[in-house]
Amino acid sequence: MKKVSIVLTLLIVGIALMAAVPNSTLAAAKISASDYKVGDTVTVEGSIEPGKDLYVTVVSHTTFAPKDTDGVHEVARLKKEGQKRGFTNETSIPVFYYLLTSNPSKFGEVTKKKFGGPSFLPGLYSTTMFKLATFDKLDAEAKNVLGPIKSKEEWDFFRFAHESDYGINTITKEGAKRGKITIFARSILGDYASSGNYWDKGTSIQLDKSTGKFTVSFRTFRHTPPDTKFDVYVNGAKAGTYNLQPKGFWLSRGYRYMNPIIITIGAIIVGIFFTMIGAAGGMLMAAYQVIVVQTAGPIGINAANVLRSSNIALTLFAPLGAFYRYAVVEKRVAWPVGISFGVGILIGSIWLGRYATKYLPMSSYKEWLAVLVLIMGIRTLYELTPKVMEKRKAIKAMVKKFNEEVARAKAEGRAVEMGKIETVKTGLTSYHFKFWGEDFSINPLLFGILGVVIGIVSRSFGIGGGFLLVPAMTTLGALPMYVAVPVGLIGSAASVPLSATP
Amino acid sequence: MNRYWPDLWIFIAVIIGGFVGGMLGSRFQKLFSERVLKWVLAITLFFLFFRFFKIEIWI
Repeated sequence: MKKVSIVLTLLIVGIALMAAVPNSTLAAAKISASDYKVGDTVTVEGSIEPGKDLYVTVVSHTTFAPKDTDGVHEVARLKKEGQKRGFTNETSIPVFYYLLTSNPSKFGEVTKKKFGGPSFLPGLYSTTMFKLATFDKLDAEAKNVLGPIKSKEEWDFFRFAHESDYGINTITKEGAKRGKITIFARSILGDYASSGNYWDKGTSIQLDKSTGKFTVSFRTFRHTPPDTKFDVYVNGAKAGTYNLQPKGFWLSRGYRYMNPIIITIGAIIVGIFFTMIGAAGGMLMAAYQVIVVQTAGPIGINAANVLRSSNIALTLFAPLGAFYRYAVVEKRVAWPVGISFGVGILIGSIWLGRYATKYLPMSSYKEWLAVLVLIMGIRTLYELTPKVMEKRKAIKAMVKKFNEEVARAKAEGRAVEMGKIETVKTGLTSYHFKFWGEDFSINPLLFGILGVVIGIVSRSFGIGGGFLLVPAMTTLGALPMYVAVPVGLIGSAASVPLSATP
Repeated sequence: MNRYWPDLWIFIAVIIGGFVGGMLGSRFQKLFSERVLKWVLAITLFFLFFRFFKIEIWI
């Protein structure tokens, strides 16, 4: 009788405990391996209480709080964002966090998102994204399965790190994209086969509600740092841990796996373009890093601040590589214009640029830069029209000589020999020279002043000035590309010291 | 400021690539006529414009 009463007591206590704690304790799960390579698919199998929804929370051991960064700009920005969005310097969240569930609607909703196009338009393209709910709207069941995220502050910081461009580029470093544009960072994931959502791709959730048996698999982020450990929770109860091993060459500050040879090849292609047209080297290298390399920067540092400092290597070293041929072998550098422009750009970037960035909200003018690029492109094409070519007699004659030389070189089986610059008269306001026997004249002072303006632009936006100078020389100065390009390269190289400043 | 240093490997790759690209670009330039160079410049500027305004999102 005594034994029976003990068994009964234990049974009652057990039932009472099960009723008191969440249904999580009823979950049992197994992770398919303890070690994976980045980009591999992780599978979790097990069972939960029949009739319940499934929540598998995967969180990295690596955490981040605003106090962890020592980037000057990031400290200031995160403080400002924290005041606006409700998190503090101490609020800490896992850097990588995924919640795979049979019921995503518990945590937010799929909403329409407009993107692309200039900021004054609502967005050229339309897509969808998973918008996280506010903490108040999460019910008790949802809050219970969030793993290490417990408070409103942490949830607000988590939302910032997954929905704001700045948060994604500074903290999570992983984006769900349409084309090459990051829309948001994936966190709440559902079954791709049933949802068809682009952010669910690689995720499979199979749950038999009648028995509670489930199989969940999802593709890990290809650029997770080496040896990142993750905890897995099933319906709030810890189910195990796994580790992601590296795959490929890890760039510790680029925060990506990529063979440096691919980056070298890209830099060669950009370098060739840049030194052929004398413009847009920094911008093209930035585009290459964003599109191909996807340089992300370490956790806590905004991607742009790491990307910018590696771009200067191109705007400095590509002109150096080209300079021997342009200046020494072919003598195609219009030195008075180049020096005047270089000095102008230094004055503009070092002295005036400081005041421009201090007193003018230059970032709000950033889109005007794009308009300027468009105008320069149209103006360059306009230069090719027969009407303008007719006016540019010297260029027309030079083009004829170039074509004749190409034909001669081809017939004789040798390389084309370019014309040289022969100085006729040098002055502050007038530089007269002959190129391929044709007369050209330009005002170095005017290009010095233009250099000052470009220097301010360069300091404000962290770019070189070639894209403004080369079209200006070919349109305002009516100079041939063969003369404008070497000067454009001098200008870009002169803008390097200040354009590196974040 | 130390936190803003570039990735060493990217930096080295860009230095080598940039320098080699510069050497090749300066040699290649004379293979193209004034007209072609201006077209390349204009197309590059248009590409940057479309990227800048996120009109082009696929490349």
